[in-house]
Amino acid sequence: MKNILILLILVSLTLPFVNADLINPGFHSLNINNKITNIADFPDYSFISVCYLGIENNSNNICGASKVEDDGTIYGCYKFASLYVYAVKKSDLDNEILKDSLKNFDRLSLYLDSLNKTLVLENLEHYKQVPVSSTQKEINNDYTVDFAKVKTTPDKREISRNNLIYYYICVPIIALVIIAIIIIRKYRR
Amino acid sequence: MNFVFPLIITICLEYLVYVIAFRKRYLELLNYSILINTFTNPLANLFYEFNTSLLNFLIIEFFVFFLETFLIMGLMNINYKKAILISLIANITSTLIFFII
Repeated sequence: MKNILILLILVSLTLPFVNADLINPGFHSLNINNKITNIADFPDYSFISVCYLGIENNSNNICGASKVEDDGTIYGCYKFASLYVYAVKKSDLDNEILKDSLKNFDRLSLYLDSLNKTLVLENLEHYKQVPVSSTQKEINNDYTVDFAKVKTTPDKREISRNNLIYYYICVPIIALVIIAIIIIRKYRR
Repeated sequence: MNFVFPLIITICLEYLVYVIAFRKRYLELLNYSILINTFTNPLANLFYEFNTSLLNFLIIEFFVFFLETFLIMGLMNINYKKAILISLIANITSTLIFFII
């Protein structure tokens, strides 16, 4: 009986954390595409995106890393992680460590600490939940990288929307016109 | 089409409140409920999208209540006190149902 009680207490204590990792009811996750548009301007450099648990880019909190694609596409990561992008010399890049980044955080952390890297993008938005009734379909964030400046916001942000936007604008207008006609007729009588 | 179900529920609930309040002209009340909610519900959804916090939700609900009071007054030819009461009951009911579903 005592064991069951302890188990129940443990389950009730851990349930909120389990729930926190799920999508909230009435919401869905939104696809956010982050892209570096001027990657071709840095032929000697590669860019790596690094995920940190929490908001600080502390090497103890690393939870993954990947190479930014040649077309500039930055891959996202775990929803509660913060995403940072660094520029490193192409000669210093070790693709093998990056590929195994999810398997061996210690090796990745040591490798990243040893690198001579420049932080170019900080705390990128890579995960968002929106209401199921949202008109937002996808967000495309474009960044122009500049080694002299760490950017936190995109230079260009495009939100593609679904057809609901027409419904949300047109239907209330039609309803309001009908309501106005009814009220005017009533007051004329 | 995830917005349709809550809209239909809201129309039905507010219609029920109007029926209890007036007890006559049932078809007319249904039309009013459809018109009022097709006006306020999409706008509320649109504004909720910008900020999904509870505070924003409550602010939007207050504006919906405020708008509906005027619409009820105009459509149903009643004084503002009765319109406020009907709008308040209708919106509290639909908000509570929103939290439940």
